[in-house]
This record gives sequence, structure tokens and C-alpha cells, in this order.
Amino acid sequence: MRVLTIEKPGLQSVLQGAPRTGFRHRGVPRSGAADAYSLALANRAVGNAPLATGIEIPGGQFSCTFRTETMICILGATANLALSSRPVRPGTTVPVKPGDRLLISGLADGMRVYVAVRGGLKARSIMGSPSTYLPARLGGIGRALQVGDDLALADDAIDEPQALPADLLIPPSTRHVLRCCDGAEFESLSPTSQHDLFERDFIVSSRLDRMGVGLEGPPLEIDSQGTMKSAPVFPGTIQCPEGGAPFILLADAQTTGGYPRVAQIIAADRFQLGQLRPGDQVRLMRVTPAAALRVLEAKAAALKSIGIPISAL
Amino acid sequence: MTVTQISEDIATIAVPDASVGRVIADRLRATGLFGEIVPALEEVAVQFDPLAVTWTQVEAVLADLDDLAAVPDTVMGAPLMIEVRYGGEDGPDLEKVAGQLGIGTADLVDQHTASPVQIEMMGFTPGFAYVQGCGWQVPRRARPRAFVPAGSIGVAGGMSGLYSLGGPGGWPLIGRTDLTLFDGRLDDPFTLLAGQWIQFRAV
Repeated sequence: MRVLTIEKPGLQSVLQGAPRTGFRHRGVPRSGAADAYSLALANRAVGNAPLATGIEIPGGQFSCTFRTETMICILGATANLALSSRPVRPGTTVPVKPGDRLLISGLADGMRVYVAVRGGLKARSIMGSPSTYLPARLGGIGRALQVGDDLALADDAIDEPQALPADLLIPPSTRHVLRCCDGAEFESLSPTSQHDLFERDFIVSSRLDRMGVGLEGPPLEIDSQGTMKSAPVFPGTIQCPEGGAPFILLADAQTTGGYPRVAQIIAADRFQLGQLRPGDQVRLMRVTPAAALRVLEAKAAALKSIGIPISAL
Repeated sequence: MTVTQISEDIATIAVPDASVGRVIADRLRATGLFGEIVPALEEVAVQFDPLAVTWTQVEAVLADLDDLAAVPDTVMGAPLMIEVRYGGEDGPDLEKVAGQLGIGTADLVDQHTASPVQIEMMGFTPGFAYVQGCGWQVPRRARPRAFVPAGSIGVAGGMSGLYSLGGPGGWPLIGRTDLTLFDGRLDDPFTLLAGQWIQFRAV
């Protein structure tokens, strides 16, 4: 059933839902929402399964017209949200009538806005996931959304809509603290740079997409002649090429890479990566794997109350 | 074999070579404990749900693999023939690579097509294959190309790489095949598998 028609697709809006797991050994990235936390919360607000497919809108420029009566919830980056000229509060469940026009503009903080529609959106499932991976045209509708695209409803409503607890709604900031563990090649950094990695502010560079995001700052000293053998990497892995500028891998990250892996962002903080925006400040904070697990357990407990299993994100 | 916990959900085991890594990966897959198992050239990385399995459980499994360090890799049938157009537009770096190696382009093609080679691992992007090379230690390009066509064959770090998708790439390119290496429209989109033998042939 047709639920909405795209009018302004924005920069590279895509359908994202459950990640594509279990195929990294064949080179297949994880995909799924770059900020899976926001999409899962928006889904729960409209009564969907937490991993139902929604729209990811990088850059926050978007409009569409609804064709049926439904409910939506919008979360993620801070932007101007209007439904047929009425302002929309992020994180609330908003009833929609046929002919209503959603307009998203004026991105303030953060990078990506998420729209969840009750029932979820229909997408082509490939290797167990409906999420879009543009380089291989997997999932979604096989490409970024375009003007005139009609999106159809899936069947992922599992509960009544619910109000989201205020303490779970964290508006994006321009300063990010990302906790991380030492990466496999942390020792390739000079002793000074091993210290600097956690003692300085980095700036998010304009080199940013769903595969990764660069950090700017005084170059780190890395002992590498570009001869490292390709080794496994994951979303949240921080690589440091010979030039000394760290690069954080995101949801669509390649599965292997040949640059030293200096750190690994902890699972509980990986959702923040989808909201990093050029010019933002990033501070890395060193933690042990045991401490990372305690953080994840606390986050899992908070999300369990609204029916989000953190392991699925 | 050394086990390292990287983060609360990722660990690696150092392996002597890629074939041991593949055997270990098969054993680990059978345990059902891991969401991702990625064998590479010098290590196998695993990702798991730390809220469902404890590090003690994971460590016990990873520490009990030494018996596999000498298990031969399974041999997989006759090599798949891969027809390659070397040089020209299809292999724009062929002459440069031959120059770096101090051999002629015909010799380079002869060496590259001389015998069957094994796919050491799959990685990078869906269906990209890292293949045993001829030991040519040529560097990656200083500036990656913004677009490398699907089917391109690059060489770097002693290996050959088969680009399964069109996209950015940093390896010097010596040729290209028309064989489709990845087709996301198929139920089984992959043409190649880690451990498989292939044979390059110049056309």
C-alpha cells in the first residue's frame, strides 16, 4: 500500500532498517541506520518493531506527501520539522492524514534525521536485511530516494504507539565524547601520540559519508610505511593512515583495511557516529573492554523498558 | 596462537597464515557463538554479543584452536578460469608496474598467468577477492582513483585484488575481466569464495 511520495529527496536519503550481519567474511558491510538509536526510538514511538525500516535523511533537507492516514515519529538531528505548516516536535507520535506534507529543513545540530512511519516501509531484503548499501545497490529500493518515488508500507507494527521517556531523548550536540578501547595497532603510535589520542580535541572533517568520517587536528605520529596487510575492521574502528589524521569507520565501513587500527569505539557510543557533522568537536576517552561492557549493560537496561534489545541495533 | 580482546564485542586471534585462518573460521562458525567471523591474512577477527555470551566463554573457545594450526586447507576442485585483458584502458598501470619490477609487460603477464593461485581472503567490499600474488612488492597508488571499474585487477603488497564493484580504489591496475564477481540481484550474489583456486588467462 502506497503511504507517501517523495518531493524533495535531499542529498542522499536512503531506507535503513535491520543491519546486514553475518557476511563480513565475504566483504559485505553492516549497513543499517548510521544512528541506529534514533531510528529504533522513533520506531517504538509509532509502535513498530525497533528495527523496522525508516528513512535516513543526511543533511536534513526533505519533503514528502502522505497518501494514507498513518502515524509518524521524527528523531535524530535537530532541524525545522513541519507537517502541513504545523510544527512537529521530535520524538512525539504525530497523526498524519492523506495529503499532509512533511517538510524538513534548516539542519541545526547533528547530521541525519530519521522518519519512522507506523508499519515501517517496504524495502527489498538482501542477505537478510532491507537496509540500503549504495555502492552495491543492496536493499532499500536499490538506490538513494528520488523525486516522485512512492514508498509502500510494510507490516512491522507490533504494539500500540507509546510516548518516549524524556530521559532517552538526547538532542545531538556539537561536542562528542566517544569512549574507545585500544585498537590492534595502538602501539604503532609514538608514545606521545598514544597520549595525545585521548588528550586533545579533534575536529570532524568534511570527508564524511556512510562509510566513515575523518578527524582533523595536529597529525599523530604513526610508525607505518603503508605496508600493513589488510586486516578486519568494523564500524567504530579508528584507523590512522600514514598522514596521521585518524578516520572513524561508520555503518557502511569496508570489512578489511590496510591502515593501522589505533582504537575501537565501544558499542554503546557507536550510535553517536551517525550524528557527527563537519566542524563538530570530538574527544576520545580511553576505557577497558570490561568498562565498555558495563556501559553497554546500563544502556541495554534503559532501552529494555521501551522494548528495544540493544544487541539488535 | 595469541588471543586479544579489542573491545567488549570484538576479539582477534593471530594466525600463521590465511589458510589456517580459514580452517579456524570454519570451526568458530560451527560454535554459533559469533555474529561475525572474519578470517584475514594474519588474524581472524570475531564480533559477538557481549550481553549474550561472556568473555570467559569466548576466550575458552578461542584459546582451544592450537590443534588447527597444522590442518591442511580443503582443496576445492579445478581452478576457475578468469579471462583478463591486460594493459591499455583495462590495465592503465601495467607499464608502470612492469617498470617498478624491472621486467617487460609481456613477462609480467606471463608471470601473472603462469599457474593457478588461491584466493586468500574476501574483504573490503562485497565480493572483492584478495588473491595470492607473484610476490611483487609494488606500493599502492599515492592517490586512490575515484572510480575503478568492476572486474579490474590490481596488484599491491605482493597480492592481486579483484574489484567486484565499480568504486574508489588505490591498487595499481594491470587488467580487467568481464566475469561478474558480485550480483546483488541473485540469491547467491558471490562468484568467488575464500580458499578457491583460480587461473588468470590473457585474452
